[in-house]
Amino acid sequence: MRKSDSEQLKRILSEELAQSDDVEDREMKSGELTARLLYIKTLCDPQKVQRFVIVPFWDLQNREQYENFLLSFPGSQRGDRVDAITEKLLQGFLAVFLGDELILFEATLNNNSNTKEANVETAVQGPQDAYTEKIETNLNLVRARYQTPTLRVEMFVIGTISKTKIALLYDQDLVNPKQLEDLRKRLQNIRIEVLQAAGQLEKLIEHRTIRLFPTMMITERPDRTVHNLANGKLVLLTDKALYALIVPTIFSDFFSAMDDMYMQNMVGRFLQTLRYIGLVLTLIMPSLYIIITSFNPEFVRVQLTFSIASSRAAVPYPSYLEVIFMLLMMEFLTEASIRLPRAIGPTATTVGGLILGQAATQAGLVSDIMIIIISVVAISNFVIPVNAMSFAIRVCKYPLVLLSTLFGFFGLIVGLMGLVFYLSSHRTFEVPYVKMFRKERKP
Amino acid sequence: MKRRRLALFVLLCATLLQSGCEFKDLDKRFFVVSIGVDKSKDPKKPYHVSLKVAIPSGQVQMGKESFDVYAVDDSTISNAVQHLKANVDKEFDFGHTKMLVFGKELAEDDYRDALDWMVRARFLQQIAWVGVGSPNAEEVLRVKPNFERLPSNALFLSFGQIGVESEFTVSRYLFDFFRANEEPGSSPVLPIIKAREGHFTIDNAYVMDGKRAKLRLNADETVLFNTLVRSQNKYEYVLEQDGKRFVFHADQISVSRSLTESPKPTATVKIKLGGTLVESQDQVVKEQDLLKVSDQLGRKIQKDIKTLLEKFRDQHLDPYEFGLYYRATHWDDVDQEVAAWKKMYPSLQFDVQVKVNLRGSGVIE
Repeated sequence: MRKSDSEQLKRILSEELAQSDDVEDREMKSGELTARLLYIKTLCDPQKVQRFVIVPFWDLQNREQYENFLLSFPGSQRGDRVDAITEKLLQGFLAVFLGDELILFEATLNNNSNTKEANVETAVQGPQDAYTEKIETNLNLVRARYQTPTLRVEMFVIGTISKTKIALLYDQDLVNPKQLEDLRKRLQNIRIEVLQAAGQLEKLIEHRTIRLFPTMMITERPDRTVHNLANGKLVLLTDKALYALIVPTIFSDFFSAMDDMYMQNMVGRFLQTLRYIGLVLTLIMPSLYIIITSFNPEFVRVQLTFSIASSRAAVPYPSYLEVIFMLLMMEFLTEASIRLPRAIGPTATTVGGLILGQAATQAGLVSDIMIIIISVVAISNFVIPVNAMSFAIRVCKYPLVLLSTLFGFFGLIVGLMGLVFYLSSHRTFEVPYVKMFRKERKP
Repeated sequence: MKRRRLALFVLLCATLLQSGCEFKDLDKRFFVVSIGVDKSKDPKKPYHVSLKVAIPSGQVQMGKESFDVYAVDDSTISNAVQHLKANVDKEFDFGHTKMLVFGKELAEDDYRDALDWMVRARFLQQIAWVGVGSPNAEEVLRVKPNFERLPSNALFLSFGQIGVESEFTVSRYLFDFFRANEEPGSSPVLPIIKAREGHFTIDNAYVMDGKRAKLRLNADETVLFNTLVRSQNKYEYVLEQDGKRFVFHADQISVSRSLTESPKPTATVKIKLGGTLVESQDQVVKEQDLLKVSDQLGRKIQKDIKTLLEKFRDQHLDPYEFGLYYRATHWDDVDQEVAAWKKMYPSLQFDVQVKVNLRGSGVIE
């Protein structure tokens, strides 16, 4: 390898990679011996680097000896071609420049022991890794899955007291520069003392005062992050916060699970359709019950009308009180089972389920049909794969119940129209929130 | 800004009063499932209106239904319905009224006012079925079939063809009946519902002339009429020959018609029937005889249908709606068309062609 070649190599490597904040590029000098190290911090094991590269450099004063020492490790090799070197660096190799020579030394960090299984966004057939509370590990998880030199990492520190580290990840070639600039500016403008969660960060980035629907995806799955990076989105990793934020996110993203992508396409489509059906059901079922029982009983078949009528015979209160009572009971039950310690959780659901299911009808507080409707509402709400969206939808059905109580069918239709208007008024980083087709058509 | 919010809040509160009378829970309503209109004996109060009200019960079981029939004589039908409210504690709901029955006497006299009320009443759905009750409408409403789960459900099932599919049943929706009644070149047909002990028999039909029931079709004629309008997909015909009977079961039917005006006004009706023999008394029909039998069957059905069509023509009735066909294929002024058709119809000749395709003798040799 000639000298000019080596210089060129150094320049290309630092230009290709060094723009990321997690790339380390340092020089060591001891006597006449000079070595330059270039590596991606988040992919390499710092212990290995220290013990096998840095310390021996000071111990072995001789260049030849040091070179032989490095090459004696399995996996070490001389590098000459730029693309091969880049590839190796992205796999967790160290590039050691010794004069004209370049030695690649393997120092891959394996994080298998540190990561946990995803338990908020579970997947049936797919990677099970989830983010941890350490940003370095998380960056490693992403880097390991996204081995492309165009991946950039920018570090920010937010929070005057907490000094939380934030990593902004994007693919240089795919990202929309306007969105990137916008997000950078927003991050720099954040004034807060303590930042502890990804959701908190989302609130700080968004400017709206009344917020119902999530406009950024919060995920614990590295594979979802990588998929979005590959689609040109921006990702924010927060230190000590477990979750990643994906920007910008649109409505339909919240209805896709990672499993959809891993399964046969017809199955994936079916599952997505199922979720939208679930969305409609959980939104309109309580309102529809009020409408059918109190406004337009002719809307359903005579057989069903009579069975609702007979099961409601014992209920003394109007239908909307029945619905609101049951909806509240369901929300209490859901909330209780989420917040309770794991040991008590099942007790709460059993007691609540028994009371709601059996006793309430026998006591004549609610009708049998109402129980079915409440279960449909609860279960179809859980079908929505991303929690933030599922919570938002939970809130949405109450205005619809109010409107249908007041105006019947007309109210429900107007309410649904209003919901669509509201959703379509959202923009996240200039992307329409209710965009029907996720991919831009290529010109 | 604050004042605007206050105004919005007041407006919202005002809407709380809006639901008002429209909001009434299902268990505070009485569902009227059928309405019967009869002619009363009192000339001052000509209408005898009966309402069948369903009483929902918890367990839906066969024959365990409960209902009440309230009836009153009054000068108008609307008055009668209002009057009947005095008998009950819950509001009547006509949203599920799916059966409207004219009494036989009323139908044979003049049903126009009753039909007019039914079409006008905004609370009645136009998809209710219409029929003629025999001996009268109230009797039909009072029948309690042993197999019925919900009041009047037996009639809904027979006419809706969700349940039984009978070749003897003519089904007419209210809107369709009204249309046929008003349309020049069309005569409505209504089924006759005969009240029996514990069930109904629906196998005859009336052809109306726009004012009253004019022609009664017996069971065989009803089957032939249903064949023409293809309201069902399975029919059986009996062929009698030398004291022996064959029963032909047709499951493939296609009917087409056309009109020619010259040289003589002629209506051509082509019928193709496909099916098998399902019963042959005293003898086994062999494969080689099938052609002969199907030929005889064709001739018989051809004769019957021609007789039926001529009967309609001679009574100035047009339930098969040749008149509509004529009007649909002519581009004159409506009045002119109608007048021309009225002139032409009495001299219309029928050319009926029946082709029977016997697929098998129904026996295994």
